[in-house]
Amino acid sequence: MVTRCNWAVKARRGQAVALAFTALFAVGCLVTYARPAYAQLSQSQKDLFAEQIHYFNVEEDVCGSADAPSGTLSQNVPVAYRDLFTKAASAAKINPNYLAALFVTEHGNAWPNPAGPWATSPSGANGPFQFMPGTWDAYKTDGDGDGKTDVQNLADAAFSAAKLIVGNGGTSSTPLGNLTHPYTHTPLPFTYIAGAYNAGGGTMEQYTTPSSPVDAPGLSKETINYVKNVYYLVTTDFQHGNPSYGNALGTVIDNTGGAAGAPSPSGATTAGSCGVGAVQGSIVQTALNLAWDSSKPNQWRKADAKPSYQKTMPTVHGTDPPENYWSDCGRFVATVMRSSGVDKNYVLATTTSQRDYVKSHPELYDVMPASNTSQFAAGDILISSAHTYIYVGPQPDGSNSRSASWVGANEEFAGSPSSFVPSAYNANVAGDYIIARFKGGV
Amino acid sequence: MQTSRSWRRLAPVLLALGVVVIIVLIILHKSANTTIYLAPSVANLQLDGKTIKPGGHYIVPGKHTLRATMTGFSDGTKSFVVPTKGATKVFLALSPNSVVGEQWYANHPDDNNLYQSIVQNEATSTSREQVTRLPLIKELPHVDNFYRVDYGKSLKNPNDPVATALYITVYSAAGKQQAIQWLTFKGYDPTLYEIVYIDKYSDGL
Repeated sequence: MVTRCNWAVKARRGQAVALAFTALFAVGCLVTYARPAYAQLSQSQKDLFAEQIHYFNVEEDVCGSADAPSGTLSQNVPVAYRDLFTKAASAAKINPNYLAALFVTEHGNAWPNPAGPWATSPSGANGPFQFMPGTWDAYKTDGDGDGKTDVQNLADAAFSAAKLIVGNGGTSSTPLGNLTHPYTHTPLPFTYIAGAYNAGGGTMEQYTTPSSPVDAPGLSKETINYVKNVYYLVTTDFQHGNPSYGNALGTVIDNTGGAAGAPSPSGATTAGSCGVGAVQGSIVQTALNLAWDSSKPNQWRKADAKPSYQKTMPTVHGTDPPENYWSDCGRFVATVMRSSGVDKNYVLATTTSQRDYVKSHPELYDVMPASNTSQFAAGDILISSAHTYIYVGPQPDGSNSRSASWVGANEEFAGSPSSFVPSAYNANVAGDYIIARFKGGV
Repeated sequence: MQTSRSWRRLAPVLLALGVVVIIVLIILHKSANTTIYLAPSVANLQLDGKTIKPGGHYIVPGKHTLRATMTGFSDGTKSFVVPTKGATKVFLALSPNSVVGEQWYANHPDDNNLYQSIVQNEATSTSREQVTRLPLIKELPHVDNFYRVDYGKSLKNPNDPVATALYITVYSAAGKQQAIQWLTFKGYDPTLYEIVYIDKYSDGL
C-alpha cells in the first residue's frame, strides 16, 4: 500500500516533470516558430525591427497580424468557411464580413458545399466567387500556396476576391454605408464596392454620384438588389438578406467542415498566406515601403531617400554606398528583392546583369517580352538593357510602379529632373523591356 | 640709318595691326556651347555627317543630328536644337545588340555608368512625357467585368518611344462597346487614339 503510494507519488512527480519539460519545449517551439528568420538577420536588420520600421518579409507581410482588419467574422457564417474568409480578409486587410457577404450573395443567399461544384453564369462568371475572366486575370491570387491560381479553387478565389475588394477601394476602415446614399465617395462605403463587384467599377463611376439613391438611374435591377442584399446581410448578422433574394441562410450545406471531398479551407489558407502569393505580395509591399509614394525629381542623394530606404539599402549594398547609388534603379530593385527575403541572390547591379540573371534562372522567374500593361501582375520586375522598375499595381496617386533613376557616375544628371531616389513611377514599355515574374523556389 | 628709320615708322603700324588681329581673333573665337556625352565614348560619331569627338564644341545655333555607330551596338541617332544663348548637353547612348557589345560595357565601367544613366534618365523622361500626352494613363489599368483598358507600345509608331497605344481586352460581346463608352465618359474621343483590341471573348476564354 505504502509502496504503491510512493510509486504513485513518484509517478505523479515524474508526470509533472515531464509536463514541465513538454511545456518548456512547446514554448521554445512557439518562440522559434514565431520568429524563424530573426536569428538569421544581420544586426542592422535587427535594428530595423527594434525601431519598428516595417521590414517586410514573408512572415511579417501576410502571416503577421500587425494591421488586423476591422471587424470579426459573424458566428453565423458556417464553420467550413470561417477560417478561410478570416485569413483571406486578413491578408487583404479588409473586414471579413464583407467577403462573406459577397460570397453568399453570389450564391443566392445559400451557403454552398465548399467542395463545389461551382456554377458558370450565362455571362461567363465562374468559380466560388463568380469571377469574370478579365477580373480574374487582374486579381487572381494563389490562396492555397500550390503555385497555381485556379478560379474554381475556393481558397484561390477567396484570396482573389479579397484582393478585388481592395482593388475597388476597400481598406481596413471601409464603412458599410447605408441605403439612402450608398454610393458616397469619402469615405467609399462597402455598398459602393459591392456594386462595383457586381456591375464593374466603370458602371458605378458612370451612373452613380455621391448623392445617388440606391436605385440610381442607369444601374441594373440586379445590381441594385445586389447592393441591398449585401447591406441587409451585414446589418442582420447574416440572418437574412434582401427579401427579393432567396433565403436559405439557415440551411447550411455542411456546417461541420467535414463533408466528404470538401477542401480544408483552414489548411489551405495557412499555406496560402505564407506561400508564393505572399512572396509576390512582399515584393510589392517592400517596394512601397522603401520608395516615396510621390515622384521626387532631382532628389538623388541619400538624404533625399525615404528613411526606410536609408536604413535598408546599406544592409544589401554595404555600408556607406557612393552618393549616386541612392538613385540607381538596379540597386533599388536588388534591395527590394533581397531585403524582402524573396530572392537573396538577386544580382546587385547592373541592369544588364540582372536581366541575364532572371533569364538564366527559369526555376525562379517566368520571363516574357513586355508589350503592354495588361500583361503585368503586381510584383513583376520590368528590365531593359539599362533600366528596371517594379510594377506595384494601381496606387491612389495614379502611379503604378516604383523606380529610381540614376544621376550617373560623373553626376552629369545632377541637375536633371529625371534623376531621383526610389519613388512613384508610371510603367512604360518603350524599348526592349522584359517582364520577370518571380515564381518561388528560394 | 635708312633701315632703322623705316623700322621705327613701321613698328607702331605693325603693333597696331597685331592688336587688331588679336581683337578680331578674340571676337571670332567662340567658346564651346555644346557638350556631347557619348557611350561608348570611342564609338564613331558624326555631327550632321562630319566626324567629331565627344566633349565640348561650339555648334552653330539651330537643329542638328548626331549619329553614332560601333560594332556590337545598335546604331544611334539624336536630333537636338542648339539655342542662341546658353549651354547645351546632348546625351547619346548605344545599346549593345550582341555579346560583343555587352562584354565591351562590362570591361569599361565608366562608359557603362554613363550608358546606364543616359538610358535611365531617358526612360524617366519618356514615362513623364507619356503621362503628359495621355493623362488617362494615371487611371490605368481600368479593370471592369467585361473589359479592361491598359496602355503599351504603339504598333503604328514603334520607333517613337513616347507614342502610346491603348490596349482594350474584351471578355464579352458587349465589352468593346462598354470600354468605348467608358473612354468617352472619361472625356477621351476614342477615334483620336491608337487602340489595340485583345479579343478574349472570341477565343472562348
